[in-house]
Amino acid sequence: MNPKLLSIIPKLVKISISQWWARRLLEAYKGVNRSCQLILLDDGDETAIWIGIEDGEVKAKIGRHPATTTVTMDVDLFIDIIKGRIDFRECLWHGLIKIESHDGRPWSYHAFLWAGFWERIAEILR
Amino acid sequence: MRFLLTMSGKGGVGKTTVASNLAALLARKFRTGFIDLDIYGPNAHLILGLPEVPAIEQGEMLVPPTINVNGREMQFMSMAMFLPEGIGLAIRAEFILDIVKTIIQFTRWDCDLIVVDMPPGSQDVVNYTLELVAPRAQAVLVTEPHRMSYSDCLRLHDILRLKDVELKAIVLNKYNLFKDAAAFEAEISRFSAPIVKLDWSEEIQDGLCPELFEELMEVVL
Repeated sequence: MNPKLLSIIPKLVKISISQWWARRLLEAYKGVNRSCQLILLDDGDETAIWIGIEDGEVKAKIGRHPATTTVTMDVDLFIDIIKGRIDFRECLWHGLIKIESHDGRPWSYHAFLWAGFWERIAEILR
Repeated sequence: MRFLLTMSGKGGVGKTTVASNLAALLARKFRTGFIDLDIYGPNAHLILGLPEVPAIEQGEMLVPPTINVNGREMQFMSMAMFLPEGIGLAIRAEFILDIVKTIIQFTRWDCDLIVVDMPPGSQDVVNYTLELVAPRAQAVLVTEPHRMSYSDCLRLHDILRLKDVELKAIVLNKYNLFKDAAAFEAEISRFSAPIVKLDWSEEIQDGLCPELFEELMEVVL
């Protein structure tokens, strides 16, 4: 785990306490397995975090695992987003965040869902 | 479900105003959806408003949120829902086409007809959209009665002919602002599609005034 991420642990705790995201994921993906591989880059190093729904439960793991979507960005950018210094959607449409689809759906299908998801995360963190 | 494509050869001729008002009228009679396919510069939401909730996923498809237009619910999709105000889209054309695909093929539209506010010209998005919807599409061409707009209108008319899309009407917009309007009306009459003349007015500039578009709706239906 990249030590830079330590600075956002209080924010991440706030997100997880809200439970909003977990409820939303479970509602949206009832009966399906869906997952996201988050890749945070830092000068050649990477931190990989896997978040997904498996058998009706929200799970998170460290490392690379098979996922339906991969979201890749610079670790400093991720920290800025979590700290509310920059809007996720702005980064997405400025090409600073790469979203890949591995489930046959268009890239933008996932991008739209992520854009909505991060708007809510930003609300929680405000 | 059919698609009513509101198109123009040139930007700024009033296509979004026509599409928005036409959709507002059609929503009184049909279950109507609205797609703003001007991906780089969406602004139909400035007339129709934005949904209060984001698009969600259900049954492995996107479900479009709704907007309320003069008391009628309308399903609505626009890049404006995902793109903050003042932020430009700095992604390549291939990604733009991917967005079009998501909105048309991976969104569960539950309506009788969808009014599509197309981007101007005959760029990639226009051609790709026509490939996706052509068998179920009809078009309204919006132009101003002057030679530059007319020239671009001719090219777009040719594309519609190639893709076998029925042209339902040609709107000569801002008719009262151009001194040679009658001459261009005569030129355009050879397209063998009904012509609807719309005068510019302050009321139209302000946004939604569907009653001024009733003649167009009758022609389209």
